[in-house]
Amino acid sequence: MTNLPLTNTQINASLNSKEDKLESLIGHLTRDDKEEIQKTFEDRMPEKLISNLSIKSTNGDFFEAAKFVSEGMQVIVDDQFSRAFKKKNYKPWNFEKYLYPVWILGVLFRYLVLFPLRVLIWVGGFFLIAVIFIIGSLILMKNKQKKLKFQTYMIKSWALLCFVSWSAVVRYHGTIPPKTTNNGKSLVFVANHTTLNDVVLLFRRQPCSIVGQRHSGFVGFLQNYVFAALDPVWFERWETKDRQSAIRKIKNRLNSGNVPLLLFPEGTCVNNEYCVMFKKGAFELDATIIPIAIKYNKLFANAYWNSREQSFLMHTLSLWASWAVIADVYFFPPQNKLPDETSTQFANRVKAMICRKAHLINCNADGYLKHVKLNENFIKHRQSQMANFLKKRFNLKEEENQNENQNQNENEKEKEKEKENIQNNNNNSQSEKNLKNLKNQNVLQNKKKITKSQSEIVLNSKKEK
Amino acid sequence: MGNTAPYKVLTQTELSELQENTNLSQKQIISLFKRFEALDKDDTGIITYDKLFSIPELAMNPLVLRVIGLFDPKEPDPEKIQFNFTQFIQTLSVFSEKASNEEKIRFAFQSYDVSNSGFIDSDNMKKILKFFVGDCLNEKQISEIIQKTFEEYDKEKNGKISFEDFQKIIDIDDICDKMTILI
Repeated sequence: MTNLPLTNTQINASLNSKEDKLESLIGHLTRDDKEEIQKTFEDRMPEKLISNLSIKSTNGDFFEAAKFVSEGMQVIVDDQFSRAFKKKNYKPWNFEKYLYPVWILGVLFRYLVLFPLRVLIWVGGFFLIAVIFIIGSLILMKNKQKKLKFQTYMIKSWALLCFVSWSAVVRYHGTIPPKTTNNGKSLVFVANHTTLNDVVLLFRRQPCSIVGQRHSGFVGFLQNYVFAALDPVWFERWETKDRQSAIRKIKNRLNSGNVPLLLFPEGTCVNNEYCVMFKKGAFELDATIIPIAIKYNKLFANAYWNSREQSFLMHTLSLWASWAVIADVYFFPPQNKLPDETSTQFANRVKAMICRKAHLINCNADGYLKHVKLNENFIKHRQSQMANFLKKRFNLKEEENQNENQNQNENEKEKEKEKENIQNNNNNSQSEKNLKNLKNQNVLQNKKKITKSQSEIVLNSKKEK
Repeated sequence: MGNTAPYKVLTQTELSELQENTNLSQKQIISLFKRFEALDKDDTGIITYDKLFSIPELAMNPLVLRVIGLFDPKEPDPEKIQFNFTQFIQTLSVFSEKASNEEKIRFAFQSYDVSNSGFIDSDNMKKILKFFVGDCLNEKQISEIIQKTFEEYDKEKNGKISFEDFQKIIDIDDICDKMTILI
């Protein structure tokens, strides 16, 4: 809302430096990681591809090239995937003569009064809570249950402190779920991800242990000193070994049943208008899942944290300088994987629930594609899908590896066979009218043949006579 | 590859010049300019095959190679395609609402005319199919598909479909509808 317009060169310069950072990031990716990303993308692709395919030659667009080309162009003009990570632009409302002075006053008030006040409140409150937290934990060291209760309470007050510093108005809908299921296993909270502050919104109601990526800087500080009380599971996204041990940790945690686990299956922050592909990891745990939809109102603050453009500290500071954070949080009833459901289907079902409630556009691209490019295997995979489709569509027969060891005679024979096949297939693929016409033609031709042969017979008999 | 130098910033004269030569409004040109800059990650003023391929939804399009190829019909190898902002605008201009049906149908025809020869023959069909399936179907299977398609559409039985033939075959409204996108 208050960003000054940057010149193009400035924007480009900042983008370039970010791009360099990304390249160094990609350097950390192991081959396994890349393959996994590729594979998940390939898994999801066929449904989308096939739903787009009809390759019917009814309107002269033989292979639907025009359709695919135009779809391709549309995506070049604007694609959903990059839109999912763009801040939504609002029409400036302050360029009216009578509104502008008021707006200026508002800016001055936000930056000169609200901002310092909020920073003071947050920092002061944070130290106060930290001191009470440490002393309380030391006193209650021997009584584990009491200690956990106390710590949970303190974390809730920390969330309240954050709320106060943002002037947050958060409405909770649906029943707040219990901590564990009946059989003593922890619940798994699954939510859409807009900013790290999502966590605070949930902590206010139900502190839970976060499963997420390890950060550095300000976020790292919060991770190490604030969230640490709730036994979070941190892992380096780019290290396979760590991830496997994280999965083991998660499974152990589920059985202990102390606090629910919180997962963001998108794996990245999205702008709260779209929802990118859910990673199926969370849905393979065999746990009961509570879907949570979080929707921010962007009128008084932009809650989206674009990690490529902004550090988390800057993001938090900009929230403190905004009017208020307004959000709705919807808790859904517990969901379990149905017996005949794959984990991918389960993930998609939960995602659809969240999207509907939070009015997000359901986009099926993997958030990691921000960092990773699809390679040639992907294209090959898609081509084989297309080939299978065309084989069915045109009734082609599998004839592989035969070409090499064949004589010319055999080839010729096959060609004849093929022609027969083609004729048969044509009959199948053409419309009923054509079929009737063809049949009529055949009948006519047969009749002609018959009459010819009859006349020949007659001729012959005449000759004999 | 282009005739003009890459634009750093669009001036008013450049903008009105582009507007005259295309079917796009100034607003559309400006938004396309922003998009072009976003796609042009290393800021060279030229978009290449690689840069386009980083759009995941485009990479999922079975005809991605043809789509990219259409930005420079004279270049036979899609991987070598590169184009500047003017070419970018001119190609996308065909998909504007204001573009004439004639333009749109020509472009649809062009989509099949991979070799830029002025007519669609079995060679072109083969190339289109290759974009779809790569090496996953053998020559025989591909030629079978082509044969079937020609039997259905090549009414003059000369093995070629000219632009005039194409206009007769297609459902013009349908194609023009398809060839219009939101810019």
